[in-house]
Amino acid sequence: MIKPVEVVLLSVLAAVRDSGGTVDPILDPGTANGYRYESAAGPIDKRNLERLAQSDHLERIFVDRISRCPWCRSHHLNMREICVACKSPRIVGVKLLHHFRCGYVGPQSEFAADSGGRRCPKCNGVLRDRGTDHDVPGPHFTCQTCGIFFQLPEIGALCLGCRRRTQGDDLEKVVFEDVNGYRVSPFGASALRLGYLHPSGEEQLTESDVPLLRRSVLMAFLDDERRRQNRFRSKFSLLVLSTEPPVTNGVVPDERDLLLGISQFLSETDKLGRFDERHYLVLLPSTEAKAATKLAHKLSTDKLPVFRQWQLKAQVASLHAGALTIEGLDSLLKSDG
Amino acid sequence: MDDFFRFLGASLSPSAIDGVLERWQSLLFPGNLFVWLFVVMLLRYDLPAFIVWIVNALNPRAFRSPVMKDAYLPYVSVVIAGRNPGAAIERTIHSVLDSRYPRLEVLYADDCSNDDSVARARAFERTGMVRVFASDQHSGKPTNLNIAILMARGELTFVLDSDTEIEVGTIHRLAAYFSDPRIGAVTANIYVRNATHNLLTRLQEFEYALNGTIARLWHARVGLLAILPGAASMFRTAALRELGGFDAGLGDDTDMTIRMRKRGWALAFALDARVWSDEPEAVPALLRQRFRWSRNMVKIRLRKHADLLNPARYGLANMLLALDNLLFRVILPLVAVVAITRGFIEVGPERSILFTGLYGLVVFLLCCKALIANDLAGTPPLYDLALAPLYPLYRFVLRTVDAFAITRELLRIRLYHPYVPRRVWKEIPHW
Repeated sequence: MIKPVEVVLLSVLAAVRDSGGTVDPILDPGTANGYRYESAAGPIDKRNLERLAQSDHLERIFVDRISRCPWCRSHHLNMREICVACKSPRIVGVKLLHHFRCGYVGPQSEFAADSGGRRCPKCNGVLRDRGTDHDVPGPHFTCQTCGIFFQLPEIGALCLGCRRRTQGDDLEKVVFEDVNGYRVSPFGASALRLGYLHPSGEEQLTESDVPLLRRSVLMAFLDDERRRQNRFRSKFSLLVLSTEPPVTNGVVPDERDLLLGISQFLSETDKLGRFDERHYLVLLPSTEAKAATKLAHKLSTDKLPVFRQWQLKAQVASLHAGALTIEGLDSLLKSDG
Repeated sequence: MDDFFRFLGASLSPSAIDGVLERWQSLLFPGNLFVWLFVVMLLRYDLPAFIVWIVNALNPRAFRSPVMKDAYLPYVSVVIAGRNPGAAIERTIHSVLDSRYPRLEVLYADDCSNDDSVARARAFERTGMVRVFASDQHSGKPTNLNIAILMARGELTFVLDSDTEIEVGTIHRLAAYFSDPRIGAVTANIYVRNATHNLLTRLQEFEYALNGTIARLWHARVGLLAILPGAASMFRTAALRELGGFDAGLGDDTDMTIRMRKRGWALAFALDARVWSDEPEAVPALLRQRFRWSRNMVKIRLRKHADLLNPARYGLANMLLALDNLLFRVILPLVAVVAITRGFIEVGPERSILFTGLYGLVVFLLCCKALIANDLAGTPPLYDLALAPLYPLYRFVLRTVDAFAITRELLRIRLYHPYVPRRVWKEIPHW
């Protein structure tokens, strides 16, 4: 039986799908979060989007980062530079001049403008040519409250909501929250096809009924293998399987037969997972590239009817670090067409 | 040694004394210059030390810093300018923060270091008592001191080298002098931190005790303090700013001292305000340092501030200071090297007796002065007395370097010095 919350979440998922598969944050300072989300069907509560992202039905796309007051969580946090001594924000940048001839250093305001240059208050010499007779020794600030000079101002935050100040070591308590866009994941797409959200718990490791790992799970396994390789010099290989889902009378056949067929070529330690609608990944632990190439050839040339129906092709993926990410594999697959 | 005792024996009888005097009078230059110079040196360098010792014996508080009045606790800005001091800057800042002076700030102006000195110094900014200004161009020490002075909030500014550490109480003892409104600056007593490193550093410890501690002590008392070392001197901030800070170029500390004197400020020496500094451990570094000091002396004292000789303008004390400098820092090194060398060559069979006797007398006087310095200031340690026989040789070598540097500077040969960046050197006046 489908719970009411799942109905809501499924409708949100469908709304995202109907908005082109992606929903982006819209800047709106008047809202509690500073951003809002809209779909073709109307506004979407961010909490629903996050819930779907946590269950992998949506993927997060990083857009921005906002800071929140550690005391009241408001995003109306005014971060500004403050004096290192009295903590006043009333600081101004000061341009200093250094006169080479006499060594005098002072604010530019002390050097009166005179006949195409400036006159040094100490030796009365004229400064005309920066780099030749004078220079500007770096950025400098002065506090208009206590009068001190300094080079690096501190950062202080004032919450416009609760009016509390946060500075110094307390700045570490400021909450920085990512603002994300959301995109329907292959897992989410499968849930929409099925008409119900994939159940939570252990079953979320695989898509229902088929021995197919979800993309995020497979990428986690891939990451583990890479770390194991770096540490223990163990070997692994990765196959990329590309398909052309056959459409008959507007219907895409069930991929279950395809996946079961592929599974026959794999050992029990190999892991089959979804990458996107057209591609699957096979993680082969403790397998050298030579053996992986053999397997890829077998899969590509086997005469199993479902393989031919789906036009299955297998290739060994490059294992340099940049390739072993979703983006890396994405571009690899795009470049291969 | 036999020659020394023969000299002593020869000297005891009246006729022998006459004979010796006659011999001395016939030495070297016409007009008995050598003899008179020797006598003048004795009066100039040794007699004052004995007077100081007697005064101290009669009144042990005579040379101690004034007691700090409770109500007078001026804010002190410790300004440090450095280039690639490395880990030394941490020790220096630590020593200042641990000095227990309640009202202070530390300002470090970095002169475009290419190591991690800035990062080391910035780590102290979290204390709220340290501010760092890092220049992105090499401008020289005077400029960076001026930047730090600009940032200073204190009524007093303590200029400290980036490799010099202070003791608990140093700042208190220096600041106490400024309750006298006539005082414009006070210099601390510099001790050699790496004295036990090798023979050279031990000789420098001996030298600092005699020429630094004792000499500055009586110079300050008679109003003839000639140098406020840039390693550790405290100034009235208003006086520094009135003078426009340090001038660019060589000899910034010598120059500032004279400019303070010209403005009429009284200068003091705080015997018991101790600071510890590393001195050159290798001969080339030491010679380079002394070469630079001698050049500064000619450039600043003889040329830039030649008007100090005018008593109508700057008073009798400043004139005496200038004459003292001319005689003992310029003429003496030139004459002494020539005189000793020539005397050594020209004097006949009595050479060994005379020079050994003279040497023995000098060593004896050095030991006396060292004991006086040890009694007053705890330096040099008594075991350094064993260095006394070597010390005149050490000084002769340095005097030779002085003579060479002075000659070169007077003749304006190869004036440029890398202590000052070229872009600044091109602009500063060269007197």
